[in-house]
Amino acid sequence: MPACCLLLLGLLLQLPAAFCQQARGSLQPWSQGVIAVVVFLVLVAIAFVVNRFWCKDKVESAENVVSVEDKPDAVTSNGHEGRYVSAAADFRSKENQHAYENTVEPEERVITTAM
Amino acid sequence: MSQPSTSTTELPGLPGGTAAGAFSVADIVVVVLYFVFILAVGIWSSVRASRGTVGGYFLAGRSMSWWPIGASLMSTDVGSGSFIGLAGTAAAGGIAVGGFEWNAIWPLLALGWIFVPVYIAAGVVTLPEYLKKRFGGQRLQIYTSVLSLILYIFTRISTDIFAGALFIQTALGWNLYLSTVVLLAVTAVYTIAGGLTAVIYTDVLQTLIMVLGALVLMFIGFEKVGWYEGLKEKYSAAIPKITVPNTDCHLPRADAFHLFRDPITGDLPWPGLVFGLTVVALWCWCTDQVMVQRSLSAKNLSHAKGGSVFAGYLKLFPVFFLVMPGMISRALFPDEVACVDPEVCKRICGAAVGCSNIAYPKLVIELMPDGLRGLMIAVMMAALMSSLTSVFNSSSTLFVLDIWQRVRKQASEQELMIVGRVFTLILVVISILWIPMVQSANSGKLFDYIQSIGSFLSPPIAALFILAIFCKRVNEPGAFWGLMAGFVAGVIRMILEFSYSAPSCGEEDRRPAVLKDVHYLYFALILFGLTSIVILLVSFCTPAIPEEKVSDCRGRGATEILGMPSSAPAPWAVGPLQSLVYMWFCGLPTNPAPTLSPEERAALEHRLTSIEEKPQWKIVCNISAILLMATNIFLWAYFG
Repeated sequence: MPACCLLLLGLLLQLPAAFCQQARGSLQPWSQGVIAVVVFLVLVAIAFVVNRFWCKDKVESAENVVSVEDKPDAVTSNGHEGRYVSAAADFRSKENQHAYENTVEPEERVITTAM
Repeated sequence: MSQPSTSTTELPGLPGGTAAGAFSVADIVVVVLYFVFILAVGIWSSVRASRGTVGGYFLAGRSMSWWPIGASLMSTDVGSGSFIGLAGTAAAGGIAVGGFEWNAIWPLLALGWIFVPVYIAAGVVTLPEYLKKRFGGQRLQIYTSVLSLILYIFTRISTDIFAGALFIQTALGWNLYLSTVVLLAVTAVYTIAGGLTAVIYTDVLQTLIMVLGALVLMFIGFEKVGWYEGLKEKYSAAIPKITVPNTDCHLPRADAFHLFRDPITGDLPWPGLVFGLTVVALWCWCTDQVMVQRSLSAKNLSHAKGGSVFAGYLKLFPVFFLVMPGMISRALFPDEVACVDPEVCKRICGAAVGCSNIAYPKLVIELMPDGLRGLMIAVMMAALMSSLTSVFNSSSTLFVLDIWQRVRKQASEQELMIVGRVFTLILVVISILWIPMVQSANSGKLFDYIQSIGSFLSPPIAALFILAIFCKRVNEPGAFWGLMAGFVAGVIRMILEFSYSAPSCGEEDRRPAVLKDVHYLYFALILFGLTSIVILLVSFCTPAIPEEKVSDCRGRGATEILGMPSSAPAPWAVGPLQSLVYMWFCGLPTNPAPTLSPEERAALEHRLTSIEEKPQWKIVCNISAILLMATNIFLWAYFG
C-alpha cells in the first residue's frame, strides 16, 4: 500500500512539471523560434552588406593594378574557397583584344569625282 | 555515422517474448516487391554507368545531379543504426538526441561551400590523396586510409549489421544468417557491378521508401498517443510497473522535451551538443570519404552545393519520424521499453542493462497493420542497405587508390577495377562475419565500445583538415605529430572507457572523475583543441612548405584519374566467352580507347578541376542554404 501511494505521489509530482515545460521563462516556443530566425536573418543581412562593401573596395583597388594579359589564376587548394577575383580579366573581351577601345580608322584616300 | 555514442546502446543477444507472429501474404508481397525494385534500379544504373574507369566506378563519372546526391547523403547517414539508436535513446532520454540530426545541417553546408571547392580544385578522388597533395610525404596518406578502413569495418558496418540483426530478431524472428546473406547478396550484385552510380541511384529509391514508410508509422503512432500534447502527457507518466527500489532511474527525464540541457548534469549537455558534436560531425560530413565521395561525383560545384542543401532538408525529418516515435513507444509500452529491473529486462530483450533499443521494433510490431508491416521491413532493409552499399563502395575506393596503388605503382586501370570489386566482396564476407559477434554480445557492451571508437578517434582528423585548408603554415611534420598526439589521447580515453563500465540502475558510480565528469562530447572538443595546438606548434617549429608547392595542388593527375579509359588488356584472359561476360559484368572496355591530344587533355583537366559556377545557380544555392539555416534555427529554438 505505502509503495502504491508513493508511486501515485510521484506521478502527480511529474505531471505538473510536464505542463510547465511548455514555456521556458516567459516565452512561448513559437515566439522563441520566430525571434531566433529574425536574429539570424538580421545577422545574414549584416554579413551580406559587409561583404558587398568590403568586396567592392577590393575590386576597386584591384582596378588600379591592371595586368596586360588575361592570366588564369592558379587555384590554390588551401585557404581559398575558389572565389578568385580576376579583375583584369573582366575588362578584357575574350574575342577581340581591342573591343573596348576607340580605334582610329585609317583615313581613306578621298576620291573626288567629277560629280 | 553522425551520432557517435548514443548513450545506453545495448544490444540484446536473444529476443524475449516479442518476436512477431506469422506474417500475412501482403507483408511478404511488399518485401519481395521491394527487393525486385531495388535490383531493377541497381542493374539499370549499372548498365547505364561507365564503370570501367576509376572515375566512372568510384566517382560515378562526375555526372550526378543535386537530387541523387542529396538523397544518397541522407540515406547513407541514416542507417539501421539510426533507426534503432535514435529511437532507443529518445525512449530513454527524450528529444535531445534529435540534436545529432539537426546539427548535421551545418557541417553539410560547410561541405558544400568550403570543403568541396577545395577538393574539386585539388582534383582528388580520396581524402588521404588530398592530404598527400597538400602536405607531401607518404605517412599521412597511409595513416588516414588505414584508420578510415578500420573505422568503417568496426563502426559503420558493425553498427548497421547489429541494428539490422536486432530488428530481424525482435520484429521478425527470421533466421539471422539466412536473411543477412540474402540481403548482402542482393546489395553486392549491383554494388560490385555498377559502383557509385548504382549505389547512388538505389539510394534515391531507398530514401523515398525510408522517409515515406517511417512517416506512415509516425502518423499512426501520433494518432495513437494523442499527438504532441498527448505524447508529452503520456511520456512523463511512462513509468514501468517494476522498479528498482530507492532509485529514480525508472522516471523519465524532467528535461525530456528540451534540446538544450544543463551543461554539467545533463545527459547531453548543450555546449557539447552545439560545439563538441559539431567537431565529430565535421569529421563525418566534411573529411570522411563516404560522404565526401558523393559530393565529388557532382557534375559541377552548383550541383554539389544543391546536394548538400537537399540533404540538409531531408535531415530535418528524422527527429519527427525516428526520435518522436521512440518516445511514443515508451509512452505506449513503458513496461517493456522502459524496464529497469535487470531480471525483467533480461526476460524481455536479453540485455540486463535496459531495453530501450527495442523501442522502434516494438512500435512496428504493435501498431502496423497487415501489409504496412511489410513496408516497415522494407524501410529497415532500405536503411541498412543504403548505408552498407555506400560504405562498401567508399572502402573499396580507399583501398584501391590509397593502399593498392601505393603497393603496385604500375597497376593498370583494369587491375584497379578488378581489385576494387574483389575488395567489395571481401567486405561483404566481413559483414557476414559480424553476425556471430552479434549473437555472442549478450551483455551488449560490445556495441557501446564500438560507438566510442568513432568519437574518440575522429576529432584529430577534423582538426587536421580544417587547419590544412585554412592555415598555409601547417606542414607535414606538424600534421603527422598532431595526428599521433590526438590518436594517443583518444586511445587512452578508450582504454579507460573499456576498463570501467557504466553503472546500471542503483549501482554506485566508481569510475574515475575524468570518465564520469567529462562528457564524451566535451572530450571531443578537448581532443580537437589539443590536436590543433600540437599541429600548430610543431608546424611553426619546423620549416614551412614552399609557397608554390602549396598552391600548385591542382590536378596534375586529374585527367589520368578521372577521365581516361585505359587501353591495356586484362593481365589474364580466361577464355574468349568467359572473359567477354566477365568484362561486360564489370563494364571493362573491350576495345582500346582513343587517347587525347595534349590540348584536349588540358581542357578536360580544366573542366574536372573547375569550381566556376553560373551566377544564377550560385544565387539559388545561397538562398536555399539561408532558408535551410533559418528553418533549422527555428526548430532548435522551438524545441529548445
